[in-house]
Amino acid sequence: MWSNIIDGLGLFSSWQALSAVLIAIPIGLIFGILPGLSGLTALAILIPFVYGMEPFVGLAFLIAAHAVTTTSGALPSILLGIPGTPPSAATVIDGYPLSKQGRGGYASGAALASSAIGGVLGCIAFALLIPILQPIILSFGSPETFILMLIGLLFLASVGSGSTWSGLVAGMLGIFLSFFGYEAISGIPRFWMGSEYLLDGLNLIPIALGLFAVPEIIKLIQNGKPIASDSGNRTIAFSDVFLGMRDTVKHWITVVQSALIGIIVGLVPGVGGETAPFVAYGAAKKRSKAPEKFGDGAIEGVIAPESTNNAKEGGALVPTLALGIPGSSGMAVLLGGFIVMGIQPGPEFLRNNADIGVGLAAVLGFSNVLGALLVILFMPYLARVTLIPGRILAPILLMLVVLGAYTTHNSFIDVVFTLFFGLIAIALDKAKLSRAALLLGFVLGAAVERYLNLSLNFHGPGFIFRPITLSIIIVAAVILIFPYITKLARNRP
Amino acid sequence: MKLFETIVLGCIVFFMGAFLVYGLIEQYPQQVLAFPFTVSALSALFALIRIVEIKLGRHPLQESESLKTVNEGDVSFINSYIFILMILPPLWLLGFELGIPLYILVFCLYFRIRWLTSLSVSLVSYAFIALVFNGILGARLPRGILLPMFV
Repeated sequence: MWSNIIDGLGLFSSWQALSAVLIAIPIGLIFGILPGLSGLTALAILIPFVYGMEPFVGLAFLIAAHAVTTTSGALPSILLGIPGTPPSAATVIDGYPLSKQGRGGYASGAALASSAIGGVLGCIAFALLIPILQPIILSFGSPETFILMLIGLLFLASVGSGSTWSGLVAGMLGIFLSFFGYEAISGIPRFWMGSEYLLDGLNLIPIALGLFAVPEIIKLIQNGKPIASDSGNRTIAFSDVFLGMRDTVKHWITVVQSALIGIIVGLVPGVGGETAPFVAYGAAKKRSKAPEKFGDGAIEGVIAPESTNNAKEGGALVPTLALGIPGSSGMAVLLGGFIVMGIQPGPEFLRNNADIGVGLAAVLGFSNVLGALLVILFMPYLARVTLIPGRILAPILLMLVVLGAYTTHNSFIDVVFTLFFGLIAIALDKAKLSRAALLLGFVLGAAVERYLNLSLNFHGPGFIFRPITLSIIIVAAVILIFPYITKLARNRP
Repeated sequence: MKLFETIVLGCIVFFMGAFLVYGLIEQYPQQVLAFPFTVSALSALFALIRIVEIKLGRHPLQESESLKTVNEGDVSFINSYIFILMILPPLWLLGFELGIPLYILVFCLYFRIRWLTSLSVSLVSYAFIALVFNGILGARLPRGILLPMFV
């Protein structure tokens, strides 16, 4: 265990990793501040750029960019009343009224301080939970890994857009797309129709870019106008910012309570990260001495959701890395990033790459603190990013998309496939089919088939009755069914 | 929207079914087709359940993964997608290094962005590709089919 910690910190402190993190943080901050371009879009666009990097350096780059999107996402919520990222929506409730009262700097200071503290608490939880889970997860064989992957898909389908059945269809389509090309165990090519491109299978990057970046570009072209009008109150005094930070420390119980809520929500796949800030907001209101102020500019109403937002990332990394089960759309895309770097999250990851896990925890904590500091320093300039018209941003993003799609395999067909999957993404969105479930199905497809074949070969069809496998199925079923039972109980007269 | 969802679900099932038929025609061994067959059968079953749900009028109102904060604009979806597809001809003809800045310039001018701004964005994109992709990353970006004819 200690060797993993030392190796992990060694990985984090290498100049390549630190440089990657320092480059990724400003990029993530800009993506976070632009409403419509969430951490999800940032990950999809950035994944091609890590291709060919050292695994840890590439992953540090992706995690740092993704982690800070919620930090800067608080700014448009507070200053303009528009959430920069979906999880920042709860911050609008009290952040925007404070801004309208001329206390935007105060609210921003509190939001950034609570984001940083929440992020660090999330990373501590991640670092503590991994060694606790390690001995349990290391006892997993191929049947358990297969079941975990199926459960991951099921969880994501249940939190995707539309009904669970639609999510499952999207997940199955994703798995089917992974069948093109050579079959993993026999090496026999399938469904390749004489095309050399399909013989190697469909590439992950065009699919991720098409599903998550192209639809956002279409929205920017459609809308065209700057994301924010010039009417927002962006006058910020640094003294107000420090006052907000001081008050965050005063409300430390709210910060810790909200961070714990975020970590727990992050740990449970399928609960959905967007709901966590509202849960924390409700809890903060309940324990406040002046609950009537909530909605009119209570500072705890800003602190609670922001602390939760950043803490849940640490919690969500635990099932993603340890079990290979992403609890949110962002984590599903991040899982794709791991595959691109040649790392399969899950029991194998803990067995062979525990040091990378420790290093990533350090990246997460460092990014949260540095991200908040950078936002404080460059707040007025960052707020101006929202004034860039969508029709200037759209071709710039499209440039990054086509360059990213092309350079991973030097293939023009990848660019064409990216645009094609953009069209598929729009159709899926309109039909309320989860894009994230499709991507996860594609990412896990080959491994699901491999582990199923291995389980059948070594244990026969009865592998699902192995004690650990059966226990996992029961626990997952309880977690999946629990919300429905509580809903039924609540609706009972 | 109900009809559209049903059509998309039907298309997905048809797509998988068509490839399975193709697999049978190509006489792939059973071990290679067994899992795709299972996945397709499950998809068809789930799609059917969802179609029944739609017919019964059950539409869970959940938030989509995409943000709802950006308003619908004055350009239709089809036209926006065509604007995106329009990047392919300059890439093919002029390559990435010249095709992308030219596309950005024409795109911005078409949407009545000021001349100076359009030109600046275009030049910055050229510098970005030249410095980051050609210089730092050492990417071998294609030069298109037109440029080698004249240069």
